[in-house]
Amino acid sequence: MSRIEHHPNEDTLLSYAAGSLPAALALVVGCHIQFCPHCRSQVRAGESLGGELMSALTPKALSNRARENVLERLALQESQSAAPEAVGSLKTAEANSAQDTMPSLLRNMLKEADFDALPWKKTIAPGLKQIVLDCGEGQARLLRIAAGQKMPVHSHRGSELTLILRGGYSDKLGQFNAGDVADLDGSVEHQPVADDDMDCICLAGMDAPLAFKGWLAKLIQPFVGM
Amino acid sequence: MADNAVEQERNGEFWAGCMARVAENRDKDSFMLLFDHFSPRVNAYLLGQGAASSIAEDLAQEALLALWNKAHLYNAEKAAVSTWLFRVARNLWIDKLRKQRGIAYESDENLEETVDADVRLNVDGERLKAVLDTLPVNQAQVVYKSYYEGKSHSEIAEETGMPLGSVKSSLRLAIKAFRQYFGENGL
Repeated sequence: MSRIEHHPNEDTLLSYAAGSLPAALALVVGCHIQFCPHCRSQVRAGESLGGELMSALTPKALSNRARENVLERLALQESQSAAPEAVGSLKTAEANSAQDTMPSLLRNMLKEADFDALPWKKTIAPGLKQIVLDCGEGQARLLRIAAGQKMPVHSHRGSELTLILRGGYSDKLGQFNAGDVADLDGSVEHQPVADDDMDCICLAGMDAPLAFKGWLAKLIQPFVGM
Repeated sequence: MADNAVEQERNGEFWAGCMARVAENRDKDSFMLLFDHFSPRVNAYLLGQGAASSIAEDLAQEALLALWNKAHLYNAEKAAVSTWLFRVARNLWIDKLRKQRGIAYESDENLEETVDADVRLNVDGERLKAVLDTLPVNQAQVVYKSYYEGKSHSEIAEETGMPLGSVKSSLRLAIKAFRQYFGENGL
């Protein structure tokens, strides 16, 4: 992977550390920090802030029963001489580097390590295929833009994070290569153009609230809680 | 707590020492010191996130037991005990009621291995509170809502009436302020 030039904004990283990014956006950040030591340490710093903030909270004691319960569980574990859990699951980082650029979080989700083996679906946009990822909060999708393809000009309603996983694209914000993240909000209108040499694969997460069009939808909106 | 003076002296180093004794000697007394200090704080954190009190109590116990069971994975060079516990509590909470977000975090076992920089905050709670107090209200509010209430940028914008862009820039300014106090490595 080439040197990473574009990172998520600091506010995005802080909210990821705080556990408050919607799932679709958090997924993109989680994948990016598997590649990016710089952002990883920023997230760790945000977590230390979290630790300090948690420590600064007014303590709310657990019940006495909870304390006894924990002591009992310790005793029980001892009597079963439970060995501490072995460090057995440290495979992710190494296994990852061998395989293209699929981050392990994504691999766990897709149960597939090869981008080319995924069931890509055509979209109405020419040269654009996608896979919608189910993540409950916001929308996440894998996008595959054909080499050299120009995307339609568009902007975003809420926040959008895009992580390049293979190939690259350019728009007015610059050139984006594998590992780079574009962190955009509604104010940015752009038109990415995929590089000529290969398809560009990226992971995009959006937190935009569902926008219903038309009077009927607007009418029912308050009742369906959107 | 009756012995406030004693409690005051217990800093990050003290807790790291307790962790070492738990890891090496399976020392229950050290563990219970950690338990008595941290479980009410983890509990308060979870209640703030909106957990029902019985769930918060269960998860707080689980978080502290994870500390017992995974003490050998803890590396005092890389993180404060409070950081480690925050991560465990955050992930437990996400697993429990915000399952969707679970897709986005590495499991705790893998965490320490992926940390390469020393990012401990060299800061005590009092100083941190002091910095929080100096922040303009809107900045303190976005930090508070992000960490204590688990609110996303859009949710904060909606609740406070601030434009989304201002929520983000307020967070960035708060980070800048923390950095000024705690140094470039701090945050």
